Amino acid sequence: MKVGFFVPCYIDAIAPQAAISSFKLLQRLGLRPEFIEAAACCGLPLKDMGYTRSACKVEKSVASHMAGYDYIVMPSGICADQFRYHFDDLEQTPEVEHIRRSAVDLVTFLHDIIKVDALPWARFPHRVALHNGCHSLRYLNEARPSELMIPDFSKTEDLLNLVEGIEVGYATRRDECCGFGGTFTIWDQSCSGQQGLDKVRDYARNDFRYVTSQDMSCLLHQSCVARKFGLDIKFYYIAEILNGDAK
Amino acid sequence: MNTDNKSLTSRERILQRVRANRPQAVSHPEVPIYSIAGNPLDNFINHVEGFDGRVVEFESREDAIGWLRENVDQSDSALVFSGVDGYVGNVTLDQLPSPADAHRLNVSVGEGLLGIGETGSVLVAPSTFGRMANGLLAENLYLLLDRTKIVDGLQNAYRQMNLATIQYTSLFSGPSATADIEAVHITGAQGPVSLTILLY
Amino acid sequence: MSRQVNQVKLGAEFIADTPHRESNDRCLWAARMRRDKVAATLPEWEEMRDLASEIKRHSLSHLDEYLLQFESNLKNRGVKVHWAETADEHNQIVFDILRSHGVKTMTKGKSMAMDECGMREYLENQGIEVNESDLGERIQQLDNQRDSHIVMPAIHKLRTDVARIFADKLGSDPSDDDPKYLNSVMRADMRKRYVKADAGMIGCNYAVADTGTVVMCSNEGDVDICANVPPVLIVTIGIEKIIPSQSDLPLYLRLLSRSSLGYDITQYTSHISAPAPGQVMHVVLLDNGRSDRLGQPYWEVLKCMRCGACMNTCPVFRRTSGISYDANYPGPLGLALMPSYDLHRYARLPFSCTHCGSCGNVCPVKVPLPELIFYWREVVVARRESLFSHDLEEGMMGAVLQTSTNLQHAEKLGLWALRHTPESIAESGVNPWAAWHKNPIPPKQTFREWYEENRPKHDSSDESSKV
Repeated sequence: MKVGFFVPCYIDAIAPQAAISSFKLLQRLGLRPEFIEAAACCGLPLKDMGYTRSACKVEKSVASHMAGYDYIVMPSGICADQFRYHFDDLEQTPEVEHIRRSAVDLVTFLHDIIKVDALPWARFPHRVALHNGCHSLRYLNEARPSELMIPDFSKTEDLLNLVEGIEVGYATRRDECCGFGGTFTIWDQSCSGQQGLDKVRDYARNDFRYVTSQDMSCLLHQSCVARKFGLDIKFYYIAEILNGDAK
Repeated sequence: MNTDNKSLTSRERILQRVRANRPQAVSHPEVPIYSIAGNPLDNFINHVEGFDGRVVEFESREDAIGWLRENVDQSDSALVFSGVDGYVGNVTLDQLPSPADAHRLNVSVGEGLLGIGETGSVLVAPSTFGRMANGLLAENLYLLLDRTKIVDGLQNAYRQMNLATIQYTSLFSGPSATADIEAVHITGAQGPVSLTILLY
Repeated sequence: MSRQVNQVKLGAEFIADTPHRESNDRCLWAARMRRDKVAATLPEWEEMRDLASEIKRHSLSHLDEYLLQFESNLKNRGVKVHWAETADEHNQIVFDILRSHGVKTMTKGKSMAMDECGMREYLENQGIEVNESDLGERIQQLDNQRDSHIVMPAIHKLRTDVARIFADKLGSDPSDDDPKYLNSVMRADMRKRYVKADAGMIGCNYAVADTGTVVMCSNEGDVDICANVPPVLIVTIGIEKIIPSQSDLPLYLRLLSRSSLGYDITQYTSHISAPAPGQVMHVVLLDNGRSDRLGQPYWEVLKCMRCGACMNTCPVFRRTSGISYDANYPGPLGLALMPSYDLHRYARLPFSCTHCGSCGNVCPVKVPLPELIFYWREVVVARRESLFSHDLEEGMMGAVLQTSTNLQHAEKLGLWALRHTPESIAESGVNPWAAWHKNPIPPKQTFREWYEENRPKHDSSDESSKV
């Protein structure tokens, strides 16, 4: 199995630990992930604002580096969603179609593709709130969104429950959006900020001192809001817990 | 907006555009009849009470009528209209020449046509109250209902109705209500403030 | 050119008003929670959503046939049927009807279609007294403000606001803000108006073609009173409200109130198939762009049955209120629909969305709202409709994100700034994000830098690894 590893732009610079833990976890699970060094950005920020033409250029550029993998794993649901479901401004060549099929979020990859059933190195003896990022939840189907009346499931929770000592819980509004929304946090700072504040206060009211998510962009936003408002909560990307790096 | 065809009527122009723009035709899917959990009678009572209505149960229709005679105030100041056989009010339709006159009624009594367990609804028509306004503007409503006329759910209720043949029909589910101010639920909005269902 | 609506700015004002924001959010979230609870009791819920969506597709793909069937059934029973191509034509038709009957005062139930036409204002300018009969709508009329929600028009207001408006306009006790008391003020005032109304107007939830029936779902009883008490009845129906058959109705009714407010049914579900004895009944079928929308990529928005579930669940709507959209249809539905009424005026609306996807999941007829919102963003950019600094922003972002080298330069610059800018500047007004956020803590090294130090020994041209 040839596994490529795509590091989203925002993670490389601001949250490298998410990528480091993910990369080490994949190695520890016996894979040889190849970091796709030349790949820069999936085009999501442009696509998100409706800049189709520029998004297309970025998509073409990134696509040129991503051929030839069985799976391209990325520690980011929003980027996986972009590759899989919105990567449609460029010509749909067989290579592009292959990229769209092989791009996969870390959680989906671990749960559905290599079917991880043990993480003997991981221990996290804490109560932790799980925030399923909206894209991972509602577009990538990594858990049951609370709106849908279908049998309950949660791939994220299944993985976390392999960690020794962990107690997974949720905020009262368990899957309400935290307000990051990519460019939305810049476009509407008040609403994004208020949503973030409501979310972190929800954790605090439920006495959570730790929060985890498969979406690092949500966690960056939430952690910056929590620090701004003086809430003592630690935020870990899911791979940091699964790889035993979170302390 | 298309400004061609000035000679056509609005109706013709609308239909023309609809025909030109229709999405690809699909057939009408089959809708199964879904079963409703629980017993229709229990469901009915629970739902009526959930909508702030009251249910009083009787052995027979006669008992229900007797209860009305004992419990509905018919003193001069309280106008009572009855649309049911066997129970007489103190005002007739002739004494309420216009529908708006129904606002003087303290009580309207009618015979429900059908009950629905799923929602606690009672089917009524103008004939239930002499005219519809009497069931809408009266302060308090009493509806008799034969418990054998309670069906399990909305789907089976509509299978028993033919909307084309009745001028007006309504499903009443509890008395009128509103939650428009801070979502505070208030019973007795603009229609009746109370609804009592006499099940026999 | 129409003035562009700045939802972000209007929303920020509402967000800053904590009591109003918290109340709006609490009331609407409670409706969403009730919806989840009642929907969960029906194992067929998701299947019903699929069927309801598919039957709407079927209806819209045969809309001309069903409209004609509906019209002919009503005409046969003495109902006068009118067709209005535009909002102006609709208002003119209604006014002509009212004038021909010498109507001076009327009561009207809530109708988004009439609001869309600006009908109330039009009739009032013609000297007709129009009394809104729905409590929330009446509050908004007396306050001279648009509805903030298509089902709960005054839900953004506090009881103290309503007490003040009723005291001003209806002479009630300004110090009593108990909703029960305020409701009783409304009830007493409306009773007087129903009695003297020359005409009643109502909207329609479903227009059943095979029986020729207007179906209305409401709670307060006012709609039925408007339909039964005055001698003249006018019903306005958007042409997309058609459903083929009476047998389709229970499917929609089972979804509507449960989605909307989280109750099993509305207090009143009423069906009119003919005028009452002595009553004159008119039906106005309103197009106003609907027949054009039918042929557009966003035609599925015509499936909408106006339940408001998308608004109740939208995290932006609950915090900014429907007022901030300054639109007849606010919230996710508004984002997907309003640009088709006036692209320039509503060019910014499609961006008032975090793409959380919740609206699409609660929609009982599965309008693909998130996709339609994305669609409009692209249209706004392609038509250069928005007033923000698109070109600059797009040019810079495009250049930075296109290659990993450019991205690394930008990242280095950004990280350098994060590490070296004094907090007094970094968290001042220069950085608007700082109003709500601390800046991220800059990491010691980027992933790329870490990778340089920890590059795996194996050669990537090696045989691919096996699990």
